[in-house]
Amino acid sequence: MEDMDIIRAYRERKHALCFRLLYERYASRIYSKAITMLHKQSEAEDATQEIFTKVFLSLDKFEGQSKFSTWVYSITYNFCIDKIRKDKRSRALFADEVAEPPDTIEEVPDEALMHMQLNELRYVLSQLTPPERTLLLMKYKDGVKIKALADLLGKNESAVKMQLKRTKEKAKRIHDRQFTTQSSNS
Amino acid sequence: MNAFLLLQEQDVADFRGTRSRAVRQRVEGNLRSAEFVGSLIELFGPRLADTLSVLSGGTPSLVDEQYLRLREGEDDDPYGQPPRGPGPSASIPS
Repeated sequence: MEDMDIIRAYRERKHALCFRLLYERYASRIYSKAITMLHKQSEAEDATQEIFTKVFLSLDKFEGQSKFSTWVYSITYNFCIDKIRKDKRSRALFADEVAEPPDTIEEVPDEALMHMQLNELRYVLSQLTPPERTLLLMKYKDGVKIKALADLLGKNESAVKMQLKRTKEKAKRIHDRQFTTQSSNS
Repeated sequence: MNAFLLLQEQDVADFRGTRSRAVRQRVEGNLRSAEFVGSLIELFGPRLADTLSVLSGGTPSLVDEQYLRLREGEDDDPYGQPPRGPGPSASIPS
């Protein structure tokens, strides 16, 4: 059953089954995106609750011009950005500079990050600053496009690309220092 | 497989089950409350607005409703007898 059919049925009858179908389809994805940005499990759960309430209360406004998933994700990102701004943690998401930028930035291919082991990736992410981590996760975990990232972060596309390039380079350096050295020693 | 996607799968798996159910129940509670408040506004909103309008010197916009009152002539006891109270009766064994 398509999302739009469920939405129409929910509008007509406010049936709990329609609510549950949409919830089962989108709740965990919303949670996954919320935890990318908010970092804390409890905050991501609260955000999922509030986003879903908001989605259902404004379901009449959804006209079906874009995909339902796009509409839901834009509500999710805007909600998380508002929350970060309210909590005065803007620097965590909107920092202009990556810590310790290297003098020369080498282009790191996406595969270098994607083909890391899960434990390696977790380690690398834990060593990055919150804005760097958020940027990488939004780009590679949630698949947010550069243009959308620029809109969300209030920057131009080239600034986002540069920040991404630096972050990838830093992530690769952290990875190589920790894991390549280890494996060459053993 | 893409390590970022594995990470996402793990996030999703962590959320499924008890935590997802708890959040769903909270959302259902929020929606019920919102629906209740909406019904109250729908029910009493126009009357409240009318009352405020009259209090501030305006004219009522709602047409006066006819309130039904019980009148003596419409009593369902045509003989005016009081109802039978408790007491001895032939049909009730003592």
